[in-house]
Amino acid sequence: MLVFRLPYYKLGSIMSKKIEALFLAYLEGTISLADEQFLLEWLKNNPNTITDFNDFRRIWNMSKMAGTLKDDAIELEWMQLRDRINTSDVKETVVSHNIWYWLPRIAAVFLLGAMVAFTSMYLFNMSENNELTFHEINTPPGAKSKITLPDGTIIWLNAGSNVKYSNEFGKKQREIQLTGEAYFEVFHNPSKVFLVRTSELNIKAYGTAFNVKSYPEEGTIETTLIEGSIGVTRRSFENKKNDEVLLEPNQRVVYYRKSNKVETINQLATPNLPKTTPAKREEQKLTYLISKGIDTKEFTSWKDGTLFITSESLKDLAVILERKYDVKIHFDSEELKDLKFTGSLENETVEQVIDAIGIAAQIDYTIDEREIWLKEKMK
Amino acid sequence: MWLTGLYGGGKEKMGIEEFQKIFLELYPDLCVYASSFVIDVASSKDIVQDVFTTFWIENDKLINKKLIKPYLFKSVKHKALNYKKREKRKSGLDELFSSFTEELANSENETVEAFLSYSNLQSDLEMAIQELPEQRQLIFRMSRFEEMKHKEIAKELNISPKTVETQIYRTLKFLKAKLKHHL
Repeated sequence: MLVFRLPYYKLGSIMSKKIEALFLAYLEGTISLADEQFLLEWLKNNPNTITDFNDFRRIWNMSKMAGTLKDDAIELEWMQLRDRINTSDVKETVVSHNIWYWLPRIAAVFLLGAMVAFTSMYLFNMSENNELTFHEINTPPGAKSKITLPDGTIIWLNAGSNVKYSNEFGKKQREIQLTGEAYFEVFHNPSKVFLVRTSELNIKAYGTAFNVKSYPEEGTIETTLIEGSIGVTRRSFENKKNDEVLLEPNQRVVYYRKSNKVETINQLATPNLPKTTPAKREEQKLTYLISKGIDTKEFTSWKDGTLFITSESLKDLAVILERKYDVKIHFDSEELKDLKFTGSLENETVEQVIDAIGIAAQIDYTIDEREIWLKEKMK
Repeated sequence: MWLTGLYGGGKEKMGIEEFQKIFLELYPDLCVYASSFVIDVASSKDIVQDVFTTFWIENDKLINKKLIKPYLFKSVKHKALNYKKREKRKSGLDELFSSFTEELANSENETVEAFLSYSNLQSDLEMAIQELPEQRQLIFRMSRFEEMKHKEIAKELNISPKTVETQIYRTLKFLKAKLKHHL
């Protein structure tokens, strides 16, 4: 047995052959207990050899693994993973629901809707009857303002908009009421949720930056998240956790107001809806559309004076310009309203913008103080 | 639906297609990498599946796409090292090699470049095996890919078990030299 205590390099080929054979038997799983004990002792006495044997062992395992990785096996693993991420409670799957997900659900909760809406209205009136005073900030058309709330939250208020909050703000709650468009940088305070109430939607923020656009004259309420996380719920379902749509950064939710018809959505929806009275069907058109991976700059740049226009009809563009510049735009011909525009406006004057539109679309115009007329070019 | 058409462009948060692409590209390398720490094939695959599940949930936190690969390898390494602690039915030899690997792994430099180098692990291994002389390659594939015992291989090829062992040992030496930057 003495020979085993000699250093490896002095062992000669017979001994190293024996160690190799034992090691291979160990890898193969055919080594006897006694031989394994012997090999273990030998390695402990020859620590400089462990690196080599350990590397052999790793290569042995890696090769076995490599043998199992055929293309069809990988495909199978992919399908397993896909099922796993689809069934697990992953936020991603919640936000990617399309209208086919929402419509049946909205239809299903509708019967409850009237009752819940009534209750929440009642509660809301109650709280307003308490001795509350309100702060209100208005921005007229053509103006913008930046407000800092008592809790440190910063709000950029776009033209023709209004925010309102009570003297209770920052004490027990952080709630504000918004009409129009605003960009929020909410001061982080996990213990007090920041709540934005619009005419039909509530947006809950947890320390975050986001944009809300809710002009009464527009058919949609649009919420864009830049940073952090927010939850959007319909106001009539504000206590229902399952109505909440969670947004992740660079996502945007467009909500269709009840009172506004959106033909595209309606057409898509009809085959899936249960039979209802005409009045109810009108209400079921409301839906969310969520887009992911958007360029948020497009929806928030107004606060820095830049206005992005993406395939906007002249009719809609006119509404935006009226608000931005406090002007009134008249159309001499209905056909002009459907012309589409894409581009960005920075700090141009209203005359420059109208002139650019005129050149791009071959339109004649006249400007008289705050009144603008657009008409087709005489040929 | 016209809205998505309009606003779908711009910076894309990872969709399922991109995720699938990354999975198909890196799954084999990550599995081979995991199996250099964890012996059991099924456990190594579970670890890689877990890492991908987490990555799917949290991929938005990885703004720099260049960091996806190193992130995945690093996650597999750490999960595998943690997993090893729970592995049972260890013999004294398993224990010895296991703690040796762990020490080695802990002393490694965890740089982006180091982790990036693992992204050809599977193809490097496959290519090295293909470089082997025909019979040695056949023996090694029978042993590792078909999990045949040395005696079975000897019988099948009508050679002595001793020859099989010698050939396999030489192959391990050859692969170790070829893959030294991965070990």
